[in-house]
Amino acid sequence: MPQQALTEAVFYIMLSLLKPLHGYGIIQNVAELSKGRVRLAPGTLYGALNTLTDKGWIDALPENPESRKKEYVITTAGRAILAEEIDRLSELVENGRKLLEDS
Amino acid sequence: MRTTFHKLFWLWQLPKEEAWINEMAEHGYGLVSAGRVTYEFEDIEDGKYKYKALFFKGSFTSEKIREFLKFMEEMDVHNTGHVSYPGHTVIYLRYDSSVEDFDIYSDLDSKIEYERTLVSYLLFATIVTFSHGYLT
Repeated sequence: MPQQALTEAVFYIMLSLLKPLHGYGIIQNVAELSKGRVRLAPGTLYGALNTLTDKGWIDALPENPESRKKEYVITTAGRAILAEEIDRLSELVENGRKLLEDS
Repeated sequence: MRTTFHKLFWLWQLPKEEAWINEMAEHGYGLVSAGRVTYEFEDIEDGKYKYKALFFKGSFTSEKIREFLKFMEEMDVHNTGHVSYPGHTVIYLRYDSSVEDFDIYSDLDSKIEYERTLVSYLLFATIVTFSHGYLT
């Protein structure tokens, strides 16, 4: 069964986690990637991180005693989901552009 | 200097309670602890902080709440107090007022889920209270 479309926030969170990052870093990275358009509130990010961890798409890294901030990183399964979503989005963009130009 | 105020808010008045705490902060009173009808404030620069009052099902010591508060700390959102009731907890969070358009939840689904949990709990508590009164 094809994977359900990812929300914009989840897509950007997973993209941010291609390298290990803590919560505040994710918020900043998502804002930067979307040029300030997508602003994640902490409670929303917390819920999303828990859901993605439960699905096995991201992992929490072992806690670093030197930092009180927990870091997360994407898993192999998460990368596959991300790649699948990029293919889906590419198809949308490709078809959209083509049909718009032909109309 | 610390000042104590006594005021009663019911659970369904959470937004009103939050508005009152923020109004106090606008006048230089920053919440440092809360009880069921007691609020302790310290002197702060007028409007330096803003506050959120949040409802949670379960005990303050539960893993779910502890993990949530730990995450909030990482975000510079600090727990300034909590009040435990049978079955639920109200948590008070403080954040710097310089953070623009701050909210705990930015997506509609999370906001709906939060409101749904609160309303279901209030309905449940009302039914239990009335049933108990009717049966005794």
